[in-house]
Amino acid sequence: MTIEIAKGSLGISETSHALLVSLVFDANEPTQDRPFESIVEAFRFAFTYGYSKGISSKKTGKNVTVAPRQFIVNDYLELLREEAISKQQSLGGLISGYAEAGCIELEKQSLSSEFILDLLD
Amino acid sequence: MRLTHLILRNIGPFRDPPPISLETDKSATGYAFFADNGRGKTSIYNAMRWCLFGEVRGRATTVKGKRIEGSLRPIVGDGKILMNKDAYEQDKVQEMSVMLIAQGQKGQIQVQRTAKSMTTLPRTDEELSIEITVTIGGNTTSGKKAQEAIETFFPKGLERFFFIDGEALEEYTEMMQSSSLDGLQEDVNAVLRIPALTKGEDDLVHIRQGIKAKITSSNKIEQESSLNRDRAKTLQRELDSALSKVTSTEKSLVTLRSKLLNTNEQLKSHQEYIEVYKQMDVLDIQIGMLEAELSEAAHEKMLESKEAWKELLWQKAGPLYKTFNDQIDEINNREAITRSLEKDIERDQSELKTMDGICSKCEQPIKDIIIHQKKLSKDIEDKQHQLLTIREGSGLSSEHLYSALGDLQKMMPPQGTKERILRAEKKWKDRKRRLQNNKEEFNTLNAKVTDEGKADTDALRESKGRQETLIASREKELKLAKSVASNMEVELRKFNRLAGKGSEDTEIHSMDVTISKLIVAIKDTIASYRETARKSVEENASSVFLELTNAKGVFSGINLDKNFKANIKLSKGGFAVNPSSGMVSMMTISVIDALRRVSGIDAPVFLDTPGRSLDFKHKEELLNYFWKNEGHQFLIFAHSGEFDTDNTLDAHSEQLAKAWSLSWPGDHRNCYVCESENVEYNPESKMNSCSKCGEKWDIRSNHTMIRELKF
Repeated sequence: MTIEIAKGSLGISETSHALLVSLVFDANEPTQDRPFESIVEAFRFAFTYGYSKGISSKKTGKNVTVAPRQFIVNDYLELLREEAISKQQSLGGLISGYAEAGCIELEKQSLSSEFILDLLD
Repeated sequence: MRLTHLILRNIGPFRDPPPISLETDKSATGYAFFADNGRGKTSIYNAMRWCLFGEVRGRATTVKGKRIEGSLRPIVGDGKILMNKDAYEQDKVQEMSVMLIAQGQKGQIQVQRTAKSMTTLPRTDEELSIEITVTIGGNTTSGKKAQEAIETFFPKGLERFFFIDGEALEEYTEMMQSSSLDGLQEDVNAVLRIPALTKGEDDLVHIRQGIKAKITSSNKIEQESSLNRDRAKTLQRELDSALSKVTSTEKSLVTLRSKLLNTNEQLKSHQEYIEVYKQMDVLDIQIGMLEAELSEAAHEKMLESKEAWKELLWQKAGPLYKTFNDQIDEINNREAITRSLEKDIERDQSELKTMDGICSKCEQPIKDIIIHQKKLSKDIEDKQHQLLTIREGSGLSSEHLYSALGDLQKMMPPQGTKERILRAEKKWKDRKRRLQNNKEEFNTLNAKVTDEGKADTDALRESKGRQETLIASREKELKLAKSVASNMEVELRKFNRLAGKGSEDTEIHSMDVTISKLIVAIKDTIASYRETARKSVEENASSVFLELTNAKGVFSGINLDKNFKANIKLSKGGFAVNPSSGMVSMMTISVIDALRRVSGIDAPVFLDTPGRSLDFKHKEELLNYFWKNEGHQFLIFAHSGEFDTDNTLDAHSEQLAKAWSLSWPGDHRNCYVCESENVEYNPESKMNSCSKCGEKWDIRSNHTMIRELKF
């Protein structure tokens, strides 16, 4: 029997969204730490960071959706299959949770005057 | 000039005759050659022309009063040639020569002209070498100089008045009676040596044309010069303006430099600030550069960050990827075992079915078939169980695993991704740090200066900058203005030079006037000379005509009008209308002889076929006139039918110096040497022989013999 895994939608909190916007590259602000080409790229980084650290968070406040065409949740199906089945959650839900947690960590990094990409080290 | 000898060799019908001597003790000046047709009268006449002038032309013709030269008679080749036919066709080396010996004012004159073949059988005269030597009074010349020497005593231009062709008298007559008289005018010009004057006139006209061209060119140059002078004036004004600009710019520069000096002096009192400003300037430049580098580094960092998420995700996706890979390997192993078991079961079942007492594995006879069958059944059972266990234990399908591996592979970071990202990050951090440091340093320096001092210094520095910019601009303007002025000066010099070329050349104008006068003078001289000559020719021709005519009372002489048209004047006035042919011939001969006399050339006269178209009386008068012994030799070449030899010799024995007959051996019935009638003919040898003197001759020979006549 095949278990259907729902795609779900992507969304983060307004605060997290604001943070991601502040991390998008701006040619006029070369001194600022803005390493990502677009908000989707920043979202992807936040998600992968949360997922790699195994941290997930529920968003609070107003939800801001992330463009689904530029972030295909099915690309991460194999990675999240077991978890989606076991937690009976949609892929979008799982990814959004990890991304939200990732955003919180990124904000902490920013607030402590550290650089985002240092998180790789 | 008095001709003394003539030596012919291989010309016309003459092969190698003995020399013809014209020397005589008598004072008479008449000479005569008598002959039938083809015996060489005209050949002797032509031989002398060829010897003197190097060419023999056919009879001239007159077309509309204009004399057309006859064609050149070739020495060798086909048709009527000058060289003796036998010599041309039989001799190994073809050679023709004529030698004239004469006594002139400067002593003996000897002229020899020889034509010799350069090839085995020359086809044209170009294959002959022609040599001429002239000796006058012991001085020998050859080639062109020899020909020039001949001109001094026998000018070719006067050939017609000394070599008179009786058969051509009609052409002369036509020429004289025509109203279009270029031919006779040419003769008159030749007699008067006018060609030399005309040539001088032509030369002067040519020189004048050159001068005219120079004057025209000079006028053109003058026009151009005038234009150039105008251009030069305009350019001078422009140059003055350009130089004025140079001066004003130089003055402005002096002022500006002075101001700059003053500004620099003032800035010295703000030295402390100056030092700070210098450092700030350096920092300012560095900050600018660092900002550019930082922008570049930020961009580079952004590009490298695109793969950052993979580095993070692979921490979890990597192990899963490995698990899937291991599972695929396991599936592959299971499949191999399954295939092996299935094969074994199939083989065992087949053996069990066809049991024939021989082991299918070792092919040896089986001792106990029943035990063997039991064992085989047990093996099949075990293997089937094993197969079932394997099939029951399989998890995900291999297709699913391969698809999952493909998805995970997309998350695999390229090798060195992390290093590249961190390197870009480090670079950005470094530029950022350096920029911050420089800005801080700049701000620290900026804080050192007071507002008042800073304002003063800024004002001075700004002033200095403005002055320096202005000076640079003025220097550029000055350089340009100087360059423009310099180019203008070059142009001006060029125009001044060109303008100066147009000065009027008075010398050339004066030369033009002089030459113009000279040409007029020569023309006048020619006209006057020709008129004098006309009168002289008219007088001489009248005198000759009156001597020759047999109706002396009827005619008063010859009239030559301004165009040298000749008419016979009647004693009663007016001109003879339709005169007889003999009368006209007399007129023609009179004019020709008058021209000869006026020419002043002392040379023998040669008259070929003189009696043509004349009646007996006129012939007699002609001989009487020419042989009257005025000092000139007069040679006639007469046809036997024209002048009877014996009668002529009898009638003119006093006037004749010598006479010859020209004949072929076959012409003689008697011995031509001793005139004996005892001549025998040998039909075999075709030879005649004289019984008296023993002379023998070939009657077929057409080699002319020259026999001096006794009278």
